[in-house]
Amino acid sequence: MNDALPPATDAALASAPDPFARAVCHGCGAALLPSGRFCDACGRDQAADAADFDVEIAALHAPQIAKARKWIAITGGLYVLGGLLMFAVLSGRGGDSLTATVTLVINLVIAGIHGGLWAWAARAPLAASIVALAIFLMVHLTNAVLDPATIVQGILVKIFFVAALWQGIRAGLEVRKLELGRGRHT
Amino acid sequence: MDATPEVGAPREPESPEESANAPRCVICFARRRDNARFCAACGAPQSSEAQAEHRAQVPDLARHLTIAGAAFALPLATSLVLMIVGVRDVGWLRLSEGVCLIVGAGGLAALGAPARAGLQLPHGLTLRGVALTIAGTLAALCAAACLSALWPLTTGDAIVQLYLEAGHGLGTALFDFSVLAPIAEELAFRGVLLIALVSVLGETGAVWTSALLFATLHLSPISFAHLVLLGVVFARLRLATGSLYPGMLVHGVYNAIITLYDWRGESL
Repeated sequence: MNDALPPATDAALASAPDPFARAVCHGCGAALLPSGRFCDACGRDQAADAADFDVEIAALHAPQIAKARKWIAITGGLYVLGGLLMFAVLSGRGGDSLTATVTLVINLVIAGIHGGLWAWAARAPLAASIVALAIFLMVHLTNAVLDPATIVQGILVKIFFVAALWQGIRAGLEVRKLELGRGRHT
Repeated sequence: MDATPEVGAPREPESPEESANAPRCVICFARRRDNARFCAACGAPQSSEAQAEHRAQVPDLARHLTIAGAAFALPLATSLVLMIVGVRDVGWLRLSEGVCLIVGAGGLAALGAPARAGLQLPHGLTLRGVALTIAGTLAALCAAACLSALWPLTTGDAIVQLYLEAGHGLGTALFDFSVLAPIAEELAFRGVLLIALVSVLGETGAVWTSALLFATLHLSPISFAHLVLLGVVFARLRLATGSLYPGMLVHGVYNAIITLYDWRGESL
């Protein structure tokens, strides 16, 4: 990897003002240009070794990630409300109590899953957002197949939810790219 | 960090190599050394060789996420189509497994060597791994049996009824559920979805995400928890052994037990 550029010699290191901080690449050991951020032999990001790098990239994408997490919680809450409402309506008609109970349990299970995803999103926002979006698509496409009238029900909430999660996934991907990029070739 | 120039900002010449005639970065136009393989200012690769190395080291996350999305969306679309047209014969059930096989084959081709490695023989499974696999599968079986007793809607009674009505025997059902389904689902979920997600989310994130998506696609909220557990067991097996075959075997045994349980209940 370093055949094109000479590795730093002892003499060069001794004459450099701060040899351990910036003189040689932490990844491949090649001599660095004094003002360069990246090693021009292996491409490793030297700034990534600074302690505040994680804070910097996390802060850059934090709003979108927090928004996605917030919408996961909102959706979970809506499943609880929807389940209770449907249970009340179905039971109130004096109809099939089994259907009402099944509907309530399914809504509560999905709400519980969203609660779990909300908690997980604090540690792994990208993974939680991907799963939340997948569950959302599965639930609402299944509902749409069973009853096409549900497509337009709560359409604004659906749009906001998908948009927030999509942004969260994109932000999470950017963070992941930076995380992978800073350690590349090591 | 303070000494670091803004990405893309041209640097002043600092050495004889950085004369006015020195080449510039193809991306940010900062001056660079003649023999530099990467730009020191923005990190962009400066030759096709460096670019290939960069691509090999930093995977194309968007592409991997797209492949994972396809591995989830195609079986989901098939399930939805089956819901629309109505499952009238066991052949329709085999259609969704066929889609999983196609997704698996296509995904293995698209993801390349890391995914195709799953077709090798297993290695590296420890005693602890075997114990955890057995414990996880038994826990899932217990959960399925409890749910089946408490909540008849969660059983495969309707599916078994379909086989009985079509005049198919237990052998056909066992072949479909304990041979065909594990091969197809392991290829699609652990062969493609899991491996595509590993580069995007890391191993732990990919294991849980693939397990949650696996459970989601079964369209059964009541069975969600134990399906997630099974998904985690199968994903851990794939990563621990480097092979899809142990997961197919355990998946097949699990499905065979469930099929026998449902068949016995329906035949009585």
